[in-house]
Amino acid sequence: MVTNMTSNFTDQPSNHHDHQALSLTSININELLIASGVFLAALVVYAITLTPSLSYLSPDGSELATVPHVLGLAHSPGYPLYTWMGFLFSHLLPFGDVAHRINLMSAVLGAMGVGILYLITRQLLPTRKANPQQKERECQENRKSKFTRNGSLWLDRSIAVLCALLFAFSKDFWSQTGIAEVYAPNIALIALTLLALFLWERTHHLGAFFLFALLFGLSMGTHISNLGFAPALALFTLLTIIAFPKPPSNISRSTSTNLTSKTLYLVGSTIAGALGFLLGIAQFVWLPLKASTLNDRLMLRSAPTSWEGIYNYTLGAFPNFKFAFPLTALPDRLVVYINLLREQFGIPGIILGIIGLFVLLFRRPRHYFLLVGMYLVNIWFFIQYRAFDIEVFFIPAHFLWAIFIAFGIWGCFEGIRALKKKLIPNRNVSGSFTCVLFSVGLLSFSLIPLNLNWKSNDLSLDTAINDFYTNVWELLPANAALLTPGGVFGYDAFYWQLVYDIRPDVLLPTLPGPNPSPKDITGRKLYATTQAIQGNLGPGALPQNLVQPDWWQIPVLIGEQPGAQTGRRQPLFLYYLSTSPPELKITNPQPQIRLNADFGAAKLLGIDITPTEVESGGMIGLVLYWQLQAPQRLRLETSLSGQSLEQHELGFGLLNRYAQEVGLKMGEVIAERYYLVIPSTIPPGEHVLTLGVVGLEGESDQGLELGSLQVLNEAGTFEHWLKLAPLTR
Amino acid sequence: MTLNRVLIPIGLLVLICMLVIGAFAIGVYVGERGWTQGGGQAQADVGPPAQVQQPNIKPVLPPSGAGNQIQDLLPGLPPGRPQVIGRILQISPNVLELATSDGLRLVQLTSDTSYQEADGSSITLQDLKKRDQVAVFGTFVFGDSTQLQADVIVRLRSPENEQLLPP
Repeated sequence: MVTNMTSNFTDQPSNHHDHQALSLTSININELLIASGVFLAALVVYAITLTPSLSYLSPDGSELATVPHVLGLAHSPGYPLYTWMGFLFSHLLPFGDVAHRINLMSAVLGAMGVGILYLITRQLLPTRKANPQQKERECQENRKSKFTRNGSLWLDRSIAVLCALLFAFSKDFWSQTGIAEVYAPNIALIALTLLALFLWERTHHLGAFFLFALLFGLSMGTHISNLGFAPALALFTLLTIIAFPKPPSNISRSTSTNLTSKTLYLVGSTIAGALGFLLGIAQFVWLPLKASTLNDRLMLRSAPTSWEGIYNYTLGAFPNFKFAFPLTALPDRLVVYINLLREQFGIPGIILGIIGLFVLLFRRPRHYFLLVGMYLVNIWFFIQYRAFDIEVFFIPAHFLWAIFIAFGIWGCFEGIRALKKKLIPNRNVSGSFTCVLFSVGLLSFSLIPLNLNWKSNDLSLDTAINDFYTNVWELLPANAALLTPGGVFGYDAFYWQLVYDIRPDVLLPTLPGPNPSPKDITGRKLYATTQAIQGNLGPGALPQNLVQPDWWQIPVLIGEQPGAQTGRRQPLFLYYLSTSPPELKITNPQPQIRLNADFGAAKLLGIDITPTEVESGGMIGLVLYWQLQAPQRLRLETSLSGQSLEQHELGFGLLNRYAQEVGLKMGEVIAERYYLVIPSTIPPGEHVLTLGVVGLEGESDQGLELGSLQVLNEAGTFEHWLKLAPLTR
Repeated sequence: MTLNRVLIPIGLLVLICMLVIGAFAIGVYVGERGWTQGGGQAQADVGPPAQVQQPNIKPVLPPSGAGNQIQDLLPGLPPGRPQVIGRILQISPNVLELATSDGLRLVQLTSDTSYQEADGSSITLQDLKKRDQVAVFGTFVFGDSTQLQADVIVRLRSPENEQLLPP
């Protein structure tokens, strides 16, 4: 019965008045080709600016690059679909390392979301219909009017392309397409869900509705906040069924029959939708199946091994931070969002979006309730959400705003067209030449965000984590123990052993779980990439009794600290943990290179550099001989041919304790000894190593020339990173 | 069409409410801070960087006998660059809201967080004011999304103090 009624709705005559008013522009081969072009344009940009491997841009990015490859369980809410898609990308792509392939997944799915955004916008933008006089004129000037219609068509297409590219190159979305994170894949899933919904709207097939519900359920596996869209989607479904055209007269004329058929259709679609959605969220069975792989303290507290655990791991996760702001703070929070919107689309984009909301309301009221409903839920929830990187949570709202902008531009053109028609009634107001001109002009606007945001989103030189850990694995003595943060933030180290089995002799005590015991590390030389003794906070903190508070934490290796990434990056330091103080004070300094440069608080007597020939991505050993002159803060920056490598305070913050426990006087000489990573992005050739004084904000002097280094590039970058891997995957 | 007659007025009401609430929020914000102050701009207004001392230009201070022992060297900052540099938008007992060049950032304050002036002298949370430029050294912790717990907060400059400086 339901199937019969479905076919009744599907087979409506195309010229039915109501149906025409409701109809979406259908997707033909030309639209698919243009969408493919938009997808490719976005993908090319994303691929060029892609992070080569691991990244700290997202603090949990290393976990999200590792877990899919080993089919583990990611942090709350688990992201099963993301994990499975990542597994396919990491195993099927034949190039780069695993993290690179997962980054590429973000690029591909992000570009896919952009391509689908074009299709969605094209479907939604109202079709221009000729009035009777226009039709008559078209008959008289057949050739010209065809030209005109084509011009309008291309103008509409240009509007849709522009809005897709504005979103593609918006600051925050673009930043997520180059790293292992869930936000770009999530946009692809949201876009697919809407596309399927509109397919159902056009065809009225229950199969399409099932597909929509399935995709919506699956999208919970890329971000569970999508569940908030459910009321808007349900309302749209209901309104659409109510608005379905009456069956044609030869089938039924009775209002009650029509009502019955709609009710039956509603029941049918509810069943199809429920089945699809349940099938989609069945992915969360993954949680209890993989709960044993969790190693994060916070995640283990709500391990999904029971119904309550599954709830706490998903919908109930992190209750303290939802609706975290008082009502009085809401105006400020709203301004924060408005400012983020400005950063994505500029003031013109905000104005066009507001115009678009009015156009959408009057042209497509049901779609207005769908899109605005989704938009408001996203904004309402996340303006009250306490997160360090709050901007990424608004990406779905930006996606929807791009559609509003498209309607705004469309409305403006319609307004101009109507005005011109009034002023010059006898002249064809939408000449093809004008339309083509406008189309080209419109598309050129997409270059603005591309140009503005390129620098901040070009992550292609971000090799710091890989360069650092390649040298860590090389430096660590046999059977050493490396202390890292536990859980999610430890994956920058776990990645290498879990994915590539590098240095299996080195113990990572926090890899199996967050609470290693002192017994586990007994008899091993101890190293750390985290502040193991001081400043060890949060769920990733090491157990209190693991290391003694009176141990010395002595820097051994310093990784690159690019200034552009301030705010997202953990300092890359390898420390040696020792019961005895470092050999800081020396009595008879004999530097290889004598300098005698006065830095105010201390005088640099000279320096040792070994070797002076180094492979890019390798390391050099430095010894800096300082004569102390005054108890002032002295912050130093090492640079190679102008590129900042690292910053540290004289004595690495150890001077006070050293003075108290060992003894240190003004005028005495200390030696700072450490290895320094030479980034693999440094081009081969001769480079000048400099040391300068730097402020906390990064402002620095020209620096003092320490010596020159010959940088080589004999091994490929990925080969260099994986040179210790017994098995390259 | 009947449906649209119902939907459009409701939609219009929603839209007007959206615009009014947005305008109200901006109005409250601007009323409190003015158009150019505070954090309406998530981009940090970092101002001109401070002058940095140059090597080789200062006279070498000869070490003298008295006070040679380093008893009061400045407490060392954690190694590396600060995690966040930004201008304070809001101060609450547990959270500092900063406008940074990467956007708005929320920094968790704990009882272990210490506060310093740029010269290393100690201050307290109560000394910090809105619009102060601060550098935060901290530890990323994993709570509801990611949080940065502050270990050390260094006040780089305060607009109030800057006004007192001679031109």
